Amino acid sequence: MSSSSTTTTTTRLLMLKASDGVTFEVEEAVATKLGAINNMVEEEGSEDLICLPNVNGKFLGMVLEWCKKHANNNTNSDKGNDEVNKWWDKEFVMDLDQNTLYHLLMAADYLSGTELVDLLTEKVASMIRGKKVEEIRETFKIKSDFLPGQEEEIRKKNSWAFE
Amino acid sequence: MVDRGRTQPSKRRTTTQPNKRRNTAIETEKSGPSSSSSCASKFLANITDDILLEILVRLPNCRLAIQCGLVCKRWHSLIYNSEYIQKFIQVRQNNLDYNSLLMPYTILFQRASYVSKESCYFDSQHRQLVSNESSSLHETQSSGYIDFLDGLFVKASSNELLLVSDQRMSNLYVCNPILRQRFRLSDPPPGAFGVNGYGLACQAKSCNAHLRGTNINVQYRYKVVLICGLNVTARIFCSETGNWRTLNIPSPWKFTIDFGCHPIASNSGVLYWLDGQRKFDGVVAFDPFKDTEDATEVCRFIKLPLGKRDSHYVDRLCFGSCLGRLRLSHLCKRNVFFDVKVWELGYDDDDGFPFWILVRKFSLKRENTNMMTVLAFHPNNEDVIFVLCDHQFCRYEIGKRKFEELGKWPNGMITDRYSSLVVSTYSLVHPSWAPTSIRALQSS
Repeated sequence: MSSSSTTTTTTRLLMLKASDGVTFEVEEAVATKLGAINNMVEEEGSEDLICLPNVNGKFLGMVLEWCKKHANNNTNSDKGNDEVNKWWDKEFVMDLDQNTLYHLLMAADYLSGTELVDLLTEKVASMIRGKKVEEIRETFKIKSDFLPGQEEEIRKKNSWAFE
Repeated sequence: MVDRGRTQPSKRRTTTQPNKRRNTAIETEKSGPSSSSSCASKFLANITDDILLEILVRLPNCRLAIQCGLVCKRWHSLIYNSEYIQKFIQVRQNNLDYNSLLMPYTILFQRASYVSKESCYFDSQHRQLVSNESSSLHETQSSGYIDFLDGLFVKASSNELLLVSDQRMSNLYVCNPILRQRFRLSDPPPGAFGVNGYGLACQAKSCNAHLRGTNINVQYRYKVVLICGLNVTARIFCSETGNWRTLNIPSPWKFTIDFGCHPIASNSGVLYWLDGQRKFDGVVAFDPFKDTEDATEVCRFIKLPLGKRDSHYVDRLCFGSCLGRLRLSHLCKRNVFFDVKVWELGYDDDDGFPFWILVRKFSLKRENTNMMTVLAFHPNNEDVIFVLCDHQFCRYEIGKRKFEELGKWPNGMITDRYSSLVVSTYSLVHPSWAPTSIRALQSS
């Protein structure tokens, strides 16, 4: 990096610009929780303004909110903080509707926010948990596209799992 | 920083491709639900296969995963796929503090009632099982197990298999209770009277260098061993040939065995039993996979690690397998405490000589409890044992000194002074993925 001569202790700020033009000013340490941003920052000659044409401002904001929380807690990582984080994560995903979940997942995946992807996929998995096949289809509005008899055949092959 | 700020407009940069793999994500997002038009929901339909896979590997157990394969074709092709299965297992390995959920397990408790000093029978009406942590395989109700075993007597267990006999004690079956499959063994050679002990041992067939618990559809073979008579012979059934062979075991071992509450344990293909009756000096290690007529090659006597002053009585000993190693515990009452020592069996690297290592030493105390017996070791968690406290089954965490009540014996336990003697335990460790079909084991 063509490191500037600034010796200040203040952290560097990055500007993130979402698809709808909304910009966010965030500390580098926060933004680099996202693998994609981290890669760019580590590359030589990286800029302070990063455009993210695939993420809309609303969801980028949520992703950054998550980053902020986790970047802060990284600095003084002890067990108590771990618990706080877990609790915060739980709250964060608690009332997400499917639409938000979808966009957040897409954003987190696009930005390589691995831990956030883990959190969100875990949340979706928990929505599947304890449901019967029909209920899963109902919940996620999925139509069965098996040919007649196909479903029965699979069921038969793995009968132990359906008892 | 100031410099950079100034150069922003000219050098601004756009990230369309944060990394390679993510290309698909962007394309799918743009192209909409066309690729999987069958799924009407925008949510899971539009999501990439990569992410859907990430979601599905986080399902709590393989039973639900297999059920989810019926949701639609896309889910089916993702789940019924070796990449999925490997990932499914991997997620478990990464996420767990303990290995406890890595391999779901079941512990079956069966009451043994003594008819006479030498023999005992198992009361098939009185069984309980613990699989609270093995919910991975039987999320809803595990009663299916018990139903399946109605009228059958459990004789031995190894891996995910049980050796059971029917009411008449004459027919022997190897069964996988999860699949509700059983295979009847051919009759043992004549002369197999007075069977003192039943053993079942499994061994991986191919030299799979996989990590423990990651074997998928593992190919293994098994041996059934019957220890018969006072002039001891062993009848050994081989799953690969479907035949029995007889092995004469010369003295010095008399095999005056008391298997009532200490069924033959199986660990890494070797069978172990306490040698003696009501009082024990050692453990016999028996390797049914050694294909030789020389009994000294097959059998080995291992002295118990107990001092002269410790009593070797049966009700104070428990042995079984934990994380693939044989464990032995000794319990001793001291006033209101019960002192427990746990050893692990190791073999010397150079000469293969067996030795015991003391791995745990602790005291048990529980209010209003007069009798305590260590019933079983947790198959995957070194810190957990199962204890019978009077009539109450408990799971005990050694580190946290925490008892968790699992339930009472139905209809109450026998309340005589031997009450602690009459529960035999059988541990099953299920594969992380689907159970192995008995038919596959026979035909292979």
